[in-house]
Amino acid sequence: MLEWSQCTIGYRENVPILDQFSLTCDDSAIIVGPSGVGKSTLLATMMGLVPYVKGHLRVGQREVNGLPQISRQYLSYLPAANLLPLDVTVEEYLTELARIDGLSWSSARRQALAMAARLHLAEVLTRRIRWLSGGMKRRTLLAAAVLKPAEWLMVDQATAGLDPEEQRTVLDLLQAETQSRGVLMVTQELDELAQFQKRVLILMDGNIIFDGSSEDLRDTARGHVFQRALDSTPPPFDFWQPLPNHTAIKVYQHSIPKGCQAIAPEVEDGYFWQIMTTKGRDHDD
Amino acid sequence: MTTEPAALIETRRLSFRPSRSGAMTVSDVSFKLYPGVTALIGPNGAGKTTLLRLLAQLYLPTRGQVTNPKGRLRAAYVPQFPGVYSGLTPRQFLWRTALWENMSWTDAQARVSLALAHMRLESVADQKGKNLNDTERRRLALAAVFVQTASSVLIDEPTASLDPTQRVEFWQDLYTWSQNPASPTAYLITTHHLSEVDGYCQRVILLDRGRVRFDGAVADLKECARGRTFWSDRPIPDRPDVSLFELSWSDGDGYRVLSERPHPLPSWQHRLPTLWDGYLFELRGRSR
Repeated sequence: MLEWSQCTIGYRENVPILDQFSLTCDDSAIIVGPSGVGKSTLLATMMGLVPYVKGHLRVGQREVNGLPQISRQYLSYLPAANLLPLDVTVEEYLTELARIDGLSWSSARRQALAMAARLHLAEVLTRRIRWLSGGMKRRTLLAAAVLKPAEWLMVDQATAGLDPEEQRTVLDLLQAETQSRGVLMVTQELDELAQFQKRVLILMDGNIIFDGSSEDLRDTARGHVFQRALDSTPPPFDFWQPLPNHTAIKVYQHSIPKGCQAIAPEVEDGYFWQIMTTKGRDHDD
Repeated sequence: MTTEPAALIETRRLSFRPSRSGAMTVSDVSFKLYPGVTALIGPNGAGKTTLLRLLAQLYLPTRGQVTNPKGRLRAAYVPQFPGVYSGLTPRQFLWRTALWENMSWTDAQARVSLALAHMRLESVADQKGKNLNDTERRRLALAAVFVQTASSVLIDEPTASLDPTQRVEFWQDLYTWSQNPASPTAYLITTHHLSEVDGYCQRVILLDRGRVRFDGAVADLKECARGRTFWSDRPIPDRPDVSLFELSWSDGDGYRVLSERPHPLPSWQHRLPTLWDGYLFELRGRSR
């Protein structure tokens, strides 16, 4: 279990990013939301990387606020930036880390090689990390995070910069990990909500504004998504999306507008509907 | 039956080798860029950025040529991380771009204010460039494209690192602009997000190791995998007569299968091919 209880979190004193924030994760979940709302900060807080944290942080039943040396025993973290040593090879890097986790040389090597193969890094094992492409660096860092036998895997934008096939590889790996431990993932890719098949949390304006499955999220937009012919540019709607044929657009409304045709929502429509209606609530106040 | 629209960029056997001894990073690429939005997709390291720079005439091709069949080639290029002049405001920068274009004062004035309004840059129009954030920089680069009189626009990974709403806003901006009769008509955009290709683009070019694997309508890329996509209600045992490109568990619906051969096992049900199936089939199926 991961728990943020009545937390006030910020990088500067008295400038909170999240205020009196509470969230409990018993099982794997995926967090999404606009940029700058504090998604990455939530993960970093648990790792003890945020200077101003008031309230309770718990991993299992253990209080870890102010005790990063404790939380880091139980959590493995993939940061959004590719922070890697540049002068060692992929194999050295992965094997050394597995050794630090207490494995013997032979099993550290065996596990490192297996994980590298799984993430399509087998051909670059003897290459120094400096000379890897951005996508390979990302997968190297992920391999290291997954190799650590921690209770929870904290993953910040795992697929950033990866091509479509590697996105799929990484997502399949993380999904497989949810069988044996908790995976808490932050993402900006709406496709991943349905693919990950776990609890979806939308963070916005300092609150969790949606908590449920991706199917629940999709269903919140049912009856609110319409297709409409394009008759003026820019279209007079708060939020709309182009459609590929360039003669019609997709619009989001509370009730059916004139001349529109309702369409079945997708998961991403649910996300946009939640964001839109939350913004609307602020204006009503 | 409609006639084929005129292409705005045409390449013939375009090849590029960055160093004399190295390998070709783009080889024998021949395609036509038509009006509308075309996605340029492919694995990391396929040569997408190199191809864009060749089309923008920033690199000189080792072999082959890039032309505009209708006249002078004028392609505007927006890099993945556009720079700004730290001392110039967006308004000054756009004026400068417009005046280089040899247009009249009133034309320039109209275009600059339209570009600022359309790209939602009015609130920061008179702030120094160094104070702009990343999305504002990208919007400014896009605004500069629309102030110029280019016939086609090349944009490198415009939506990487954006959140979902910002991503939709990019496509809104592009869509709104492309409706303007004075705007360029052909757009070539690189992306790693197949959902964007499916949602917003009409055509797609798939590049792999410097070569074009597919060039055509988005719907036709899906069709490439037709007859090879199935549902299976159980995991599939290793059998010599079954070879799969992909097998993945999909909650509730069973296993998604992309089979190398178009012959289903008795327990399989047909499923409509997605863009992902077409992409994977073209990359794995044809490279053998």
